[in-house]
Amino acid sequence: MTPIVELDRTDRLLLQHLQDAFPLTRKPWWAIGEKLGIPEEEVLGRVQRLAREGVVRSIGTVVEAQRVGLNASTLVALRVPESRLLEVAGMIREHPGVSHCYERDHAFNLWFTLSMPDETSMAREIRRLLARSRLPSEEMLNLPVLRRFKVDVRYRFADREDGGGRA
Amino acid sequence: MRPLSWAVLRQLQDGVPIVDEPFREIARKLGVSEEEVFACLESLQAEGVVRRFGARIDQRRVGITVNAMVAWRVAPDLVETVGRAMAAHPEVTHCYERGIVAGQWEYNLFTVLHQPDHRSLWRHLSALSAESGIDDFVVLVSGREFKRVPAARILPVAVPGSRSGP
Repeated sequence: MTPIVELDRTDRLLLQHLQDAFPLTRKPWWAIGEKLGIPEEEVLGRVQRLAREGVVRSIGTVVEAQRVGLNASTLVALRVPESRLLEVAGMIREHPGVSHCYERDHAFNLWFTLSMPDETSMAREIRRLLARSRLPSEEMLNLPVLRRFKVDVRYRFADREDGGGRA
Repeated sequence: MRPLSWAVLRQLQDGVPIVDEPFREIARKLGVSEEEVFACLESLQAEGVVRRFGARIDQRRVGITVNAMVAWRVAPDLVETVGRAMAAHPEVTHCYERGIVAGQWEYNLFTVLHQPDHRSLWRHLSALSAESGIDDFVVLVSGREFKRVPAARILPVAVPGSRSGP
């Protein structure tokens, strides 16, 4: 279980800005500080602390998969005996095309997402992973994306009344 | 896409250094000015290659510990309407139509919700179900996280000028 980091009101407002309205300028900490009414050094200090505590994973670009050559994307579910879960998950997570891999509370207990340049390479990698897992094919569900309605992984840290609503 | 765009993306996909002037370091590594980095980033956003620039947060660390993938069984002619309606909810972070495996898995519309506890999860699920009229769904709550990295990454094969780029 991940320990939960206690946040004060300024941390919450700061996270909201870092996530939703990061200023692309030479002095981003100063710009955020102006909005929050705190000094630049305090903003930087807090961001460094939040990064050290693992709250901020990174501050960077979120890229559109299809635009960088990843045109095939799927979700795969495996039904893995409990005794082999760690071993199979360890093998899956090593694959560079796998972005998410979670244990889930279901008979199909291991779920992962896989992105590849095209359908041919996708089919090949699915076959390889299944072979390496040594699971029979009926223990796998391959659920490719047909239509995407939304991907927007952002959270609400501060109430709207607190001035931290989405930009 | 220009070679500089690839280089900028490769530098920025893992995040800027959290130092006094974060983009100065990036610009120095690329041998360009900070203005060129910003201009490049802006055009990548305008072109839709970069969806957003900002912090990626580990929501588990701030108490949003319930990650539920919820799969709904929706009649094919309703998928468009229901998919759009569910996607409009701010609590829904992902919404996809997926292929089924006939006889084994008939749930075709997938949503993801991140919530602080099961009570708030179920409050939102009840609302989504009531609103859509879809009452056949499976809730897949996450346990251990084995991997979580951005789905869209510039892999090492996509070097400037190579044919693997778009």
